[in-house]
Amino acid sequence: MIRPFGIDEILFLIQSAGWTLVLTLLAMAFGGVLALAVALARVARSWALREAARVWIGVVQGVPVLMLLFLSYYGLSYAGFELPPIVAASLSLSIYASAYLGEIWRGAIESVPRQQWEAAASLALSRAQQYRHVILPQSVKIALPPTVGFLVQLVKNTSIVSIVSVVELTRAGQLINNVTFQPFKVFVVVAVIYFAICYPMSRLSRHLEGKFRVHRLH
Amino acid sequence: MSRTRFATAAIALLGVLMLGFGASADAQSINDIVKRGKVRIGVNSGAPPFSVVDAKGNPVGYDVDVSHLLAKYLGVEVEITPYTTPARIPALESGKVDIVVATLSPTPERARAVMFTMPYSTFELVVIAPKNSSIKALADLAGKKVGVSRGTPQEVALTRSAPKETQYARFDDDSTTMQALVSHQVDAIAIPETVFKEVQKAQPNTDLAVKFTFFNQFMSIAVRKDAFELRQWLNTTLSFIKTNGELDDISKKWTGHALPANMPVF
Amino acid sequence: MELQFAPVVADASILIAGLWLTAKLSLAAIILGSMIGLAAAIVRTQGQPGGRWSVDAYVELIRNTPFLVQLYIIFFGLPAIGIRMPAEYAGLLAMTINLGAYTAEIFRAGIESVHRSQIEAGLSLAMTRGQIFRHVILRPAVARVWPSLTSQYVLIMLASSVCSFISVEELSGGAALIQSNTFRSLEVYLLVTAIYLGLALVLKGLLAIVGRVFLRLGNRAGRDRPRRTPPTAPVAP
Repeated sequence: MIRPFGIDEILFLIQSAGWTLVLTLLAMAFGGVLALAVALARVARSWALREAARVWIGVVQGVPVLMLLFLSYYGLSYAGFELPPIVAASLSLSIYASAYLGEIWRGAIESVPRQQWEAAASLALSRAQQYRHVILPQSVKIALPPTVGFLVQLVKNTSIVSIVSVVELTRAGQLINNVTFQPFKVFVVVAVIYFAICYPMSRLSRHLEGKFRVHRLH
Repeated sequence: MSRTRFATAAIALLGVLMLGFGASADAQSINDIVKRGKVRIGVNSGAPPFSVVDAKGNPVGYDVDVSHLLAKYLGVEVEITPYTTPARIPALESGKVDIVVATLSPTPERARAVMFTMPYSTFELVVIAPKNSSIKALADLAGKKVGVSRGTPQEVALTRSAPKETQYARFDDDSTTMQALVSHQVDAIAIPETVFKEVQKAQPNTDLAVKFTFFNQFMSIAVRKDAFELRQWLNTTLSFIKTNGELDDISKKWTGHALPANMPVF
Repeated sequence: MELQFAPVVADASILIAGLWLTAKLSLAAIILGSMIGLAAAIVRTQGQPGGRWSVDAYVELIRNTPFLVQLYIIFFGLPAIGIRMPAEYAGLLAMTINLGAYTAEIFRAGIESVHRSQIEAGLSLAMTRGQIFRHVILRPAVARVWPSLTSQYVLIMLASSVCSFISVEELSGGAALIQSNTFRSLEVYLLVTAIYLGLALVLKGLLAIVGRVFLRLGNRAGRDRPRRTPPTAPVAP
């Protein structure tokens, strides 16, 4: 019996959107830690570190997320790890986030005016202390709008992991479509749910950008 | 200071990865398995009726029953793990499982990567098209767009036997392939008869019909390339359960008919 | 467990065919998508309120939903309401619509960055609005946003990989085919990842050449580049 596309199905979609958010948070958490390392390496004094970070960013930004996913998925299998697909999904999204966030945060660190570095150095702070107490807190403000903007990209890219059968929102849409055979209705609803998640974040990012720019003119 | 820490962490990570890559390819002889007391078998996680994961998360199906039978004859416990289609072979190659009973069709190309036993099951493969379509036989597929799922027995059989002028549209699973036909994005699709029966149960009043059966694609069990002893044992056992009817019982239970008489032996 | 690339290389013709299709799709999407984006940006900056709102809605809708879902709607959903097209065209359409939204924003930023004084200078020279747009606004605007456009073009080329989900046999689709033929999953995806990387570098290089030739980027170093901080107004005592 065909199941009609009704309220139960919509609830299942909304539930699966929860997994979309879980994947996004995992990617932000692990990817964020990696991104910080990448950003710091990118502005490090050692040429080797700077080059390594530049290569990392260049490679990850130059390949599709789908490839990152398959490399994680098959790579983990070949390395002998017997892990559920969501691990490969989180790993690939974290790698993806680390490169883009690393670039964004590097830009933020470099935007902190030179005088701040000089002032911190003149207070005899070590480089680590300069970062911790002076540079990073100021760069957070600059980094916030593009970071929130990237969060939107991350949410959208979680749709790719549907191909390894992780039941996030897009895969849930496919599953519902397979029992209702109403692709137009199903995927439009899926799009609406993504929009409901992403649009507020896009607006927030733009709002923060405006706020920050006003700030700087003072 | 932070640089040294970073370097140490990187080397440690690399070390862990290398350990992982060096992971064991163990137990290739029967004695090892018997001594271990357990045989590890990989099955498909979503290929009805050969193996699916039921509501409680346990694998059930034709392949699962065959796995239990094999373990019984080995005299050991069985540990069955479901894998998605792409993960079956890596699981075998990396040593996570000893045997893969997961709707694999043997081809010469694939036999370069693993060793196949003689076939233990068949997929009756059908071509589905709208009721008013003029497709009646394989030759009619010339010039038409036929949907099929990647990496499946039906893909192997279809690309081998369909006319050269057939255009293929490859999708990632049978459900998406069905969707393509329902959306009329393809003229016909090739799927296992059992999958179509399931879909008919879900949507009985479509205008799709089975046009013809084009092949009985047989499937084999796979073991690692150096597991000669294991493969020989499996072949012997398969031959045995074919003759004494146990395999036929499993076949009738899950597919509704007995195994065809002329299955190849190798 | 060693990696065996030989079976993958034996099927290289599939990858070459896929690479060719990826290149064709990307190029077509870049050209068509940019045309749509530029048109949308013009409406957005110089059109009526109704047109401006429509462009805003289009841009927000596309930018806040995943490309894959847009693709599914076009390929599986549209036939349900009577619009059907082959997979490659569905993929191209989705890529074009997607790129159109992103380039609309980029072109808009470029157009708006042209200082009012430039336009006034054009008007004082008795140029028509059309001439002003072509000579005073368009070229500097595009030159200014060329780096952003380049990034976006590379992104849409990478996004073409998603079209393999609807049976388009571009590079990723070819990879999936080889993988199912040979079982050599990690090898084929390592190789295809390297090919994508090469493709991205080639595309960036080509776009840099286009920038230098058509937009005379780099010839007037510093002069056309946007300032990073806004000019400070004189502070009243």
